[in-house]
Amino acid sequence: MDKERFIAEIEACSDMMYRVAWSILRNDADCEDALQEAALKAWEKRSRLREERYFRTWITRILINACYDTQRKRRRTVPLDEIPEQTAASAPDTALAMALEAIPEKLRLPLVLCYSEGMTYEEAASALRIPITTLRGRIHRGKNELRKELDAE
Amino acid sequence: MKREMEELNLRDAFRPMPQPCRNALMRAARSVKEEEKPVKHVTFRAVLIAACIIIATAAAAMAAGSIFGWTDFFLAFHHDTTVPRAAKEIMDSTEEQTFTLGPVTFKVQTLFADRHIAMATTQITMTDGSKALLCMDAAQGDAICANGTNSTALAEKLGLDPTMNWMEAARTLNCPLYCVRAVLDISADYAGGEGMEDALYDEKGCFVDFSLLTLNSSAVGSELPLRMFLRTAEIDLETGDEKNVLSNRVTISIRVAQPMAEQDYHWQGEYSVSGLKLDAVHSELTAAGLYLFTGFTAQDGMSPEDFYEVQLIPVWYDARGNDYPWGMNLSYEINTDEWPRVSMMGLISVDSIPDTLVLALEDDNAPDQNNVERITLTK
Repeated sequence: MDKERFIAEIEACSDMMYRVAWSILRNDADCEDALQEAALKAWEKRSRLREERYFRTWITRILINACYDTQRKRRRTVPLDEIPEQTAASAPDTALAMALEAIPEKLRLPLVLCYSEGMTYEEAASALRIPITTLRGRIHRGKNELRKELDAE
Repeated sequence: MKREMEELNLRDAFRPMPQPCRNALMRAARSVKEEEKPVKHVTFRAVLIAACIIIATAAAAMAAGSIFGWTDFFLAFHHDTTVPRAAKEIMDSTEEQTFTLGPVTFKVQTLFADRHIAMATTQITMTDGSKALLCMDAAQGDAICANGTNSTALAEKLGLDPTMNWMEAARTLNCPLYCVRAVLDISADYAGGEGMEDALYDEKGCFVDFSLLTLNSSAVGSELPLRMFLRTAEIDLETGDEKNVLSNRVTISIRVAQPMAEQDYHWQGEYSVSGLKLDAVHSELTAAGLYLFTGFTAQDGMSPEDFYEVQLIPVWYDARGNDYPWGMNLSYEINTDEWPRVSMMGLISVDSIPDTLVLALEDDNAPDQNNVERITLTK
């Protein structure tokens, strides 16, 4: 993959990447770090991408790792009470945003990948490196949890 | 006010990407340096051999009548996994076993087992050939396209919008909808604890269920008391409820492929990564590929929790540094029962035991593996 193509692919995936990063980090400053890190790592590792049509799943996997790295660094360096509190107030559907934030991350991320980003179960399972049966279970539980949160509002 | 799940647009839970984030991402993307394009040097002989393999594979596929099976599955979902030649031969020579459950017929088309895994594909059709839609168990409310390009293609073939769910599709086509399932099943003594199930539609649009089980290798001999759990349920197209549910467990006869060769690997010096020291590498070649058993000792003071926190996995490369295709088991096993001894088992898709292997113990969660030390192993 040449540089021009790489930039185009990143640009095409940028909104999706932000939403995935936000789903994990819920903090714009951390998202910035993770997004940059993911782009640089993806370029370094581009020889491992065997088919360009899998770029979206592949970059998602790299981004999720970058988010967890950012999260680990943040845990080491920032006391919890210094992490700026985030609200869902600026999302188009505030109630939905709050409900989504309220459910556990391991249920949230499969929902976001499949139902916000339109990934297939296989793509999402591959990006999350979990068996598809696990993914299906998490989606099922995630939907139930989300429904409970929305009903509680 | 209650809100229905179907009304929700999950994307509305996110605000648009802030400009500083977009700028940071694109700045990083544009900052990468284009190096000299890597040129892979191959000899003419290598090219000629590659060409022969492609022709031979194409001929074999035509000769086999192209049974829709695991090769198609890996091609669709796990492009870094391949079916070794010996496994393909066993799968292609499977004697078909057919079972009927009410209006639905299950035809077990390919079967494979060694001491570690059992795999099957089952084509599921309406017994009387009548028009009906078949989808995976409990998937009636899912969008057709949720199962990837394969099911999207089916929708297009049927003239349906791939984003509609299976119930809407059946209503549109004015035909019944069945949730179907055919999964391998084995008693707890033989079970390895993992399983995988998925489905694709073959070129005729027939539903094909894929089932994989891991086995307890110490319990498996030449015979395997394998069963297949079959289930079908007609779906009420208005409510999504199941009706006329039928299920059965049937015995499946299968021959267990035995190990063809075993080999220990050796290395020079010491290999330690993240507190784990390599003690032993043993390999076992079966028709499924090469199982690689690695033994490590954890350093003093390290706990199993510390170990699992990092999620180290062995990654195997050839002598040139190319990684091997993942094995058909799609996973690896880690055992810390005898802590501080850690054993790991993985499978690579090869047809013979390589003279040389390169091992890297990589952090499954870390994006950068370039600096992980590798060690060369020889027979």
